Amino acid sequence: MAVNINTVYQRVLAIANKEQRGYITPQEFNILANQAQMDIFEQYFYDTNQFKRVPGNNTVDSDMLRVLDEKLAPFKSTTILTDNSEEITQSTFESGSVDASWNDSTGNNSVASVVADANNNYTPSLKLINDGSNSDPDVFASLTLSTSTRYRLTVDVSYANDPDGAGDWVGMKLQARPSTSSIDGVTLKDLQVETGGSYSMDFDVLDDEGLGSATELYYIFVGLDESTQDNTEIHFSKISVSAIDNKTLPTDLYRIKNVYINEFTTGKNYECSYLTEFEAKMRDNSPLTTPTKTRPVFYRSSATEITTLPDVATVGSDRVYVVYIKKPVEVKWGYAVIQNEALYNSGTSVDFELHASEEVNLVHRILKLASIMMKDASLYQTSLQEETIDIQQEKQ
Amino acid sequence: MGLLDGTTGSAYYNGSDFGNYQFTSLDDVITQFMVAYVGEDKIIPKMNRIDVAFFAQRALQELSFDTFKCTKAYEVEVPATLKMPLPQDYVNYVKLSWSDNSGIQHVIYPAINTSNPSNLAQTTDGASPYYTFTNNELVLTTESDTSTNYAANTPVENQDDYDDDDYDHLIGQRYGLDPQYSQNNGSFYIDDIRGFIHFSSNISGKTVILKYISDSLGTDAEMQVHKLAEEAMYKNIAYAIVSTRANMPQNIVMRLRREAFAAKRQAKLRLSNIKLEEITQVLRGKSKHIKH
Repeated sequence: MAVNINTVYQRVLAIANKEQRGYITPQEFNILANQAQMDIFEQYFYDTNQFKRVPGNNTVDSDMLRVLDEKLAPFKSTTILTDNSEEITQSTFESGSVDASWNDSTGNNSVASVVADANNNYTPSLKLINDGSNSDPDVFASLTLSTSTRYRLTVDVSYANDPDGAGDWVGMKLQARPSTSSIDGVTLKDLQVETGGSYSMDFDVLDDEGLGSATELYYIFVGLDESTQDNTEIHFSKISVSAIDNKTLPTDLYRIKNVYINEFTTGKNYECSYLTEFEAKMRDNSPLTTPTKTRPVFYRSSATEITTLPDVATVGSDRVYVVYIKKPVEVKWGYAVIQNEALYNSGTSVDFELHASEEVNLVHRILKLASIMMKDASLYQTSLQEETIDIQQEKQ
Repeated sequence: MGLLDGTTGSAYYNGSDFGNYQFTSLDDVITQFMVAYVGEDKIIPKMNRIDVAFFAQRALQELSFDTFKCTKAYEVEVPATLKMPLPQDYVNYVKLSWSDNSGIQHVIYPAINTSNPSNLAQTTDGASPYYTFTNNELVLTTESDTSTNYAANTPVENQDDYDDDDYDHLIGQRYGLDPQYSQNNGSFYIDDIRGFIHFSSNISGKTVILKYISDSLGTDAEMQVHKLAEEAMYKNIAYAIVSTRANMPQNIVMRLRREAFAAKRQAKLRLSNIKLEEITQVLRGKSKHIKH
């Protein structure tokens, strides 16, 4: 669905370079491409506002609100609210090796290592393989965690393969437990995983010895859940543990769509109404408008935080989720210089996340920006005209 | 998918939550209202759920007062103090009665000519400052003489056995009866300030039943609407919202007002529970003499 950055670059070059107008270097293109992407992306919200005022039609493919929703779909994300800090010393593996914060408990299987190959799309990842007779090879980290906080363990699987084929699957095990006990306070999750998946497990920290300790030493295990020696392989590109604080917004947030409280016991979601702080506090003072768990509200308390009313405890089963539009990734036309020429390198490139239908728009907008840079009035006029025609067609 | 929500017949009859299908929870009403009435191309383009909840609770209150069936009742034995506290969620009473050994209820009527006023402590000589003060505040006694006397004596109305046309205590002095006092079931009055119901002394030790109305907002479990009045809830919420918004076309406001009124009346009619067989039986007795 995404727009290939090389396609756009080649088209831009083909049009801009016609009649020897000028060449756009990859560095210049990358700057203009990101500008154009953000320009188109931001316009979606204003268009949504505009099209909400007109009746629309009852089709999926040409009702403008649904078209816009489809265009925004790649940017939609839902997450629990964590404090965005990382408890694990080594959560990604760009360094190319497994550091001492990870303890190897792979038994007589191959030891855990970091690989970046075609299987994991050259993303440095921690590799575990079940090639020995010992079952469930894993690694674990020792973390000192707060007993008054709930945590989320998240793993990104960059590659998962079971050589037995479709009849079998890759089993993954996540576990958090006190260093002093393998029975009390254990949170365990066995999952069937696939390449490209992201998986998580929430856990509370038990004061195992009952001494009222503010912190507890915990072991976080990540590994395979495979008992048969069949060379099942799994790669983790990221392993993270963050504190669930029910207030800190994700770092890639662009706009909040909605916030809801998930009641763990019933599984019900209660959508929070978005109010200003003043409105929320005013309602909190009146018995008939006091926010309740079934009628919660939230307000932005800072650029990075929200506050929900009623307050959702950080230790407990209920959780706050935010549904949001994330920022588009920064696009990049990656290249390698071979014989003094920049040749496209898909491995280091980042494509546009925009919908495929935006390819033409991207070309026009980049050309318009490039024409300003090249001081080419005729190119500017042409690209502006094309863009205007597109807008007229879309919005008439 | 039906509204029974996957509850099997076996699960229902093995459980203890019977007869709940006749109700819809207030949260469901609010959610359904948000879906059906709020949004683009709808009558209310934009509204917070919490604000809808306010109007829904107000609608529930209003319908509780005069449309819903009264289902709340307390039974207590009148103690020697001759008073009982008002229920926690009391708004107004529907009926007070005492039940006899056969379980038949006898209506107790309000004693409108008594009350429990604040009893000011006066100075002994009746001169300025007339009343006594503690820390510059007037001294009040909790029970007034009026209330104490009411409790200490059986009102003369209740001393007549109403066995003939004569009023026993006023023979030769007055003729005719005032129907509101022509019974010996006893009487009560409500001290709203202090939150007590006071009974006449002839009810002491009897089992009294207080049937009262609340506003249905006391507990979450109470916050439900009978399905026969669900439409009235939606219409009342919609009208309340539209009538409090600026720049609303008046024809829409008036249309919703009429719809809300009609829906409320229809709900009241439905909840009146008039059944053909029962009303027929009542009407068969229409030619009987009215004895009371």
